[in-house]
Amino acid sequence: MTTILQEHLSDAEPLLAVRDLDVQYRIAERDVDLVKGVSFDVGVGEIVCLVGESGSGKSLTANALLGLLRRNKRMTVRGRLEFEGSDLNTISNGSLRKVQGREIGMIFQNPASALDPVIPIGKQIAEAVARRRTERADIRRRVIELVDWVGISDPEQRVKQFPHEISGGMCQRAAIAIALAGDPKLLIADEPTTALDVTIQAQILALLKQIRDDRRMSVLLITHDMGVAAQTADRIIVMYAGSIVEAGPTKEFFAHAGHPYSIGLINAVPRVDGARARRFSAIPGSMPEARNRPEGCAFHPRCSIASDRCREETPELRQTGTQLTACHRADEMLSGLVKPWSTQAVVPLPGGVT
Amino acid sequence: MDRVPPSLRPSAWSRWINRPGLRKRRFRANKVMLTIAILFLLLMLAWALAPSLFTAGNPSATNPLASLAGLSARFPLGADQYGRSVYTELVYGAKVALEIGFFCTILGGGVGGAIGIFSGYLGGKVDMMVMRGIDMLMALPPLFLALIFIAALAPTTTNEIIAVSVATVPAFARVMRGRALEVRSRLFIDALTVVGVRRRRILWRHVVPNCAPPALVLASINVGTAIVTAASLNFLGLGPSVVTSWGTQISSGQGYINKEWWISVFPGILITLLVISVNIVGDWVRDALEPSSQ
Repeated sequence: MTTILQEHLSDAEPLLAVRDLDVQYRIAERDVDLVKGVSFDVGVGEIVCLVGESGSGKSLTANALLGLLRRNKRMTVRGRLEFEGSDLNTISNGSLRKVQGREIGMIFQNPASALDPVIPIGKQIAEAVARRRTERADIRRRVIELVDWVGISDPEQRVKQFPHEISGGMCQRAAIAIALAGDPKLLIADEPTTALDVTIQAQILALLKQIRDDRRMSVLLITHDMGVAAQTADRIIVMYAGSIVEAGPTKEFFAHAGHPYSIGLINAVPRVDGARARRFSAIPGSMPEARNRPEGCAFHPRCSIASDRCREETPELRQTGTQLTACHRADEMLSGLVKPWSTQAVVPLPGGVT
Repeated sequence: MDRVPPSLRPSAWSRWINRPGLRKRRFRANKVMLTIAILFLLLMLAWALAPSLFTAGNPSATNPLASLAGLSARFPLGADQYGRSVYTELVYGAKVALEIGFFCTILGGGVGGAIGIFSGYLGGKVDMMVMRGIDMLMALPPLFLALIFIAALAPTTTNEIIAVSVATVPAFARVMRGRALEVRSRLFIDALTVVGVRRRRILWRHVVPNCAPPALVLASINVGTAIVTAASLNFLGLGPSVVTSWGTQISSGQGYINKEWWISVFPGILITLLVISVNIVGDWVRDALEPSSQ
C-alpha cells in the first residue's frame, strides 16, 4: 500500500511523508481509533487538500503533525511523519520546536481566537519573527514587510491594533503573517476560511496560492468545503471516519470520483452550471461516532450501493483509474455498471424552481 | 393576556421590580454611589498620608481629666477612657487600615495568584497536589487561618500583614487556577506552540496577562475583606498592641458601649464605610473589565 502511495500520490519530490498514521483516544479504559492508517505525501510547492465532514479526522491529522497532541495524555499517535529526514512523531520536544514556526507554519479555523486578545497584532507577529532574527530594527522591518505582504493595508497603524479592533479577515491575514514569519517550507491551514464570508474567503485562498507561487511553499489545506478544494488544490484527499477513502489529482477527481462518498460530497455542492443546475443533494445520515464504527466499510450504512461484501470486509485503498479509492465497487462504478445516488431524492433549491 | 394562566402572569412585585425607567435610575444611583465611594476613599487616603493636617492632637496622648468626655468642640467624637480623642485616633488609624488592606492584597494576592496560575498552567500531578493543599487551607475560615498565624508569630504589624495575607491566598489561588486552565485551553495557546514559542514565554507573556482582569477584580474586592480580617484580629487583641487601630478602638470601648458609645461606634462606622466603598469601587472595576458579567 505504501509503495503505491509513494509512486502515485505526488509527482513532486515529497516534503512531508505521512505513513500509517494512527491516532487513538483513551476513553473509559478503551482505545478508540480516531485516525487509522492514514498515509499521504505533500510534495514541494504542492497544495494538498484534506476534505471530509466534521469528525473525519482531518484536523487531528494536522494537529498530530505539529505535536499538538503530545500534551494530551489520553491521545496516542503512531506511525511515521517524515519531514526532511526526521520523524516528527518521535523527535524530542526540543527538535520539534526547531521545526515549529521555522519549517512548518500553521493557521487555524477561527482567526479571532487564534490571536492573543490582550496583545497588539504587531507584537504577536514580532514574536514569531524573533524565532529567526534577533536585531530589533530588523524584526520591526520584517513585521511591516509581512503585514504588507499578506495584504493588510496601512501596516504602520494596523500593527498597533488589538485583534478585537480588526475584522475577521484581517485577523486571518495577521495569523497567516505569523505562520509565514519563520519562512516555513510547509503551511498547514486548518479550515482557514470557514469563519469568513465568501468574498474574504476567495481573497484568503488567492493569497495562499500567491504565497505558494512566490515561495514554492507546500500547503496542506484542510476543509470541508468541496468548492474551496476545487478552487485551490493540486491534489485532493478525502477522509471519512478517520481513514482516507479516496485520493487523486484535483481535475481527475472531480471528473470521475470513484468513491460513493466523494461523489456524494461533490453532489452536495450547489452548482449553477451544467445539468445539475439549481439542484443539489445531500448524503443521507451522518458520520458514525468513533467508538461505534460499523463493521466492513465505514461508509456502508449511508451508501446507496452497499453490497454484502461492503458490510463485512473493510476495503483497502487501491489504484482505480487515475486515483486511489477504498471502495469494493469502484471498478463497477468506473465502467458505468452502477451509479450511486441515482435514486436519491433531489433537494430543490429555495425558490421552488427545479 | 387572557390565555396566560394566572400563575404565569407577572406578579405585582415583578412588575414593580421591572418598572420602566428603573434601569436608568439604578444606573444613575450607581454613579452617585461610585462618586461618594471614591471621594470617601480619597479622604481616607489623605488621612493616612497626612494625619496632622486633619487633627492637631496626638493619638496616644492620654489625659486623665478628659476621661470618657462626651462629644464637644475639643473632642468632636468624644474621648475614650484614657482621655484620648476618638477623632484623632480614627485619623491616625486610617493609615493602619489602608496599609493592611493594600499590602495584604498585594502579598496574598500575588502569592495566591502565582500558585494558582502555575498550578493551572502546568496541570497534571503538580496541579493536583497544589490544589489539595489549597483545599486544606480553604477548609478553614480566613479569619481563623489568620488567627492561627498571628498567634504563632509575634504580634507586630509585619506579622499581622503576613497572617492576613496567608488568609487571602486560598481564594486567589483557586480563582486564578480556574482562569489559567481556561486560558490554557484557548486556541491561541496552540497557535503560539505551533510557532515554536517556549512554554515559559507563553506562560509569562500570554497566560499571565490574560489572567489579569479577574485578578484585578478580586484584588479590589479583597482590600475590604483584608481590612475586616485585620480589624477582627485587633479587636481580639491579637494585633500589634502599641499601634492605634480601629479594631483596638472598638475593642477598648466594649465595656462602655451602654453609656460612652462613641468609643466603639465611630470606628465601627468607619470600617463599614471603608469596606462598602472599596466594594463599590471593586464592582465598578469588574464591570469595566468584564462587561459580560453585567
